[in-house]
Amino acid sequence: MMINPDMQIEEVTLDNVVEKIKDFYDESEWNFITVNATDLGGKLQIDWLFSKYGAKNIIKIFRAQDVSYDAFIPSIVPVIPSAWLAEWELADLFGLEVENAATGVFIAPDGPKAPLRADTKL
Amino acid sequence: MGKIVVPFGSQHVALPEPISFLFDTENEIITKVEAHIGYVHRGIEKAAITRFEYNQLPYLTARVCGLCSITHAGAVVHGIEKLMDIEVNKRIDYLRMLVVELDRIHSHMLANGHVAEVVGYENLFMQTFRAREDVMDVLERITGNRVQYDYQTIGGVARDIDLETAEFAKKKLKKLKENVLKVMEFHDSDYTFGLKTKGVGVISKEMAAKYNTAGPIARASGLETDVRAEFDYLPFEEVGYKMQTRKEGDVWARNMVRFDEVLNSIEMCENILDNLPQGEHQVKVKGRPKGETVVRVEAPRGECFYYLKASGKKVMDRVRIRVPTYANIPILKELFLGAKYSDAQAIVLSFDPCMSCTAR
Amino acid sequence: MLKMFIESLKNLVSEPETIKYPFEPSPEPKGYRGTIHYNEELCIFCDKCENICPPGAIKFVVVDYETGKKEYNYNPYLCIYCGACVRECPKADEGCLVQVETRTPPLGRSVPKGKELGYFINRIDNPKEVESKWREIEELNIKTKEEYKAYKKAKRAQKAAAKAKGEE
Ligand code: SF4
Ligand code: SF4
Repeated sequence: MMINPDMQIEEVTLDNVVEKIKDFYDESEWNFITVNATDLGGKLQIDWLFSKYGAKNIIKIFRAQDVSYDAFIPSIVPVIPSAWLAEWELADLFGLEVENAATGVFIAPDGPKAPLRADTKL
Repeated sequence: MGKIVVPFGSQHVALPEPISFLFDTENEIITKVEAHIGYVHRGIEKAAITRFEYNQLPYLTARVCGLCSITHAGAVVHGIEKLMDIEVNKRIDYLRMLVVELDRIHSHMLANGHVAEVVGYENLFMQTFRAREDVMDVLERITGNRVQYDYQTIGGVARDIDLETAEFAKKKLKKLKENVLKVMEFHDSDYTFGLKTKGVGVISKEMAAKYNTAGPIARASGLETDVRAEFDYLPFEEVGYKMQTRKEGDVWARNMVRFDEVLNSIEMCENILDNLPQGEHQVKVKGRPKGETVVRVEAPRGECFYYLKASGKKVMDRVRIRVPTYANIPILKELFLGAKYSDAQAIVLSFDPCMSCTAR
Repeated sequence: MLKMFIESLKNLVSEPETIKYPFEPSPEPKGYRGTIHYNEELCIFCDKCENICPPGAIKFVVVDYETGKKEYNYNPYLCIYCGACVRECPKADEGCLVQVETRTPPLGRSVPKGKELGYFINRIDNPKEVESKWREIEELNIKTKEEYKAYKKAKRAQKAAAKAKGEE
């Protein structure tokens, strides 16, 4: 059986993402999956992913393109209280500046910095 | 009494995995929690996009976790097959489903056994683990190894199942079912076990939805979410999958939901073994993965999520792994607040945490 | 509780579920994924097994640039016994690469020997050297492959030059 996710992608910017998610999110209807960053060679693509309860294959994605390494990522914790862990991971593994994020949760303080950036050679 | 800071982990008799919590406690009641989860970070996501080629990924991601190696290998395999446009036949689907469900059985039995152990019921722990041995034997016989199954490969499964093995599995499953019912009875009605687990660490349905809880923890609170019903990756409905939920939302209900699922899984496995379609166990594979996709699979502990991106090269561009325990840590932290320190162990273990998954 | 007590008493007389390993042997179950055995005579040196091996436990080293002869090196203590190499091998059906049902013995005071294990392990006597010697093999693997490539290229260029000369 080949999987066939119905990915509904909505382009957002870092300035309006919190508002967009606030308008969209209903906790009894949508399951927040995670925040994911993808390094496309110097520029990041950041996705906020949701799935729908009780429906088949529906994945909603809010996507911010061309995010630079020194961008400030706003936090969606006021809307989704469980999002802090995924956001902190961005701070640790990509070295991004994330609102209210603590660092050193995912890698040891003496570990490599921002290991998942494309230019970090390990 | 003033505030006392109690460390719990990273090494602790009750914890099977390295996670550390720092509890601020006042009169035994936990008032603040700080969690550290990165003790076993191995950089698997980085390795997946630098050192390993796409056809080696199932073997790499299988090593994210020892208990659900089937889940992780399966998830990348489903994703890469999508990106390479490979359609596998029914027999492969059924064989994959068989190992996925067997994996769920042994993982759930382990979790329930551990809960029994930390509430001080050593005897029940041993009984549960003893019953679990049968399913381990079946998995070992089918895949060839006890822990690292390496069963799913791109375009099929590693080996076919012969008649003798199928008979062996059926026999063992029958014995397993009897034992599970027996052990379940103890978990269900034992007075001392109930004292330590009923009403402890209660999650309401609203809370479960608010914190996006996954897996048996959500279902024990009555939140109907199961990736097997929400994402088409294997034909579970054909073999008698039914969603299992409970209402209570406490440690006890989590154990019982897992037992319900074990029974459902045993039924599914028997159905699969009785109705195995004919066909090859490998299909032809050509080309390279290209594009992006998301994969959701139901690991024993809940939703396991993969994001895969490739651009026709041997090495993928991005492999993102989000495991169920990762999704359940926020609610775990919330649950500790206001709980007694003595209950913390049972609460953690009832979540069946897997830190090597979470830290990757 | 009483029921559990009875259950526990029954345990005293029932058969044990465990084996007293290491005092008793722990036999491999049927279909166990064990050591990889190799047969040089059947190999066509396609390098497929080397390329798929996730931990890199198979490494070919070119020993003679003239004839292109390669030596198969297998490190059973790096192998994860996944069986991917056997699935990949075009000559596996004939028995060039097979996964047998016995375990590789743990690395103790001695090193396992046997022609079917390839060149690497047969050239080592001290178990402590397995790791360092394997690193040498890994370096040799890269080095000789590059050199062999360069050698072949030079050879081709030579041939082309000779041919061009002949035509003149
Ligand atoms: S079994 Fe796996 S790890 Fe071992 S040599 Fe073959 S491919 Fe490599
Ligand atoms: S895949 Fe088989 S034939 Fe090819 S080099 Fe390896 S052992 Fe020889």
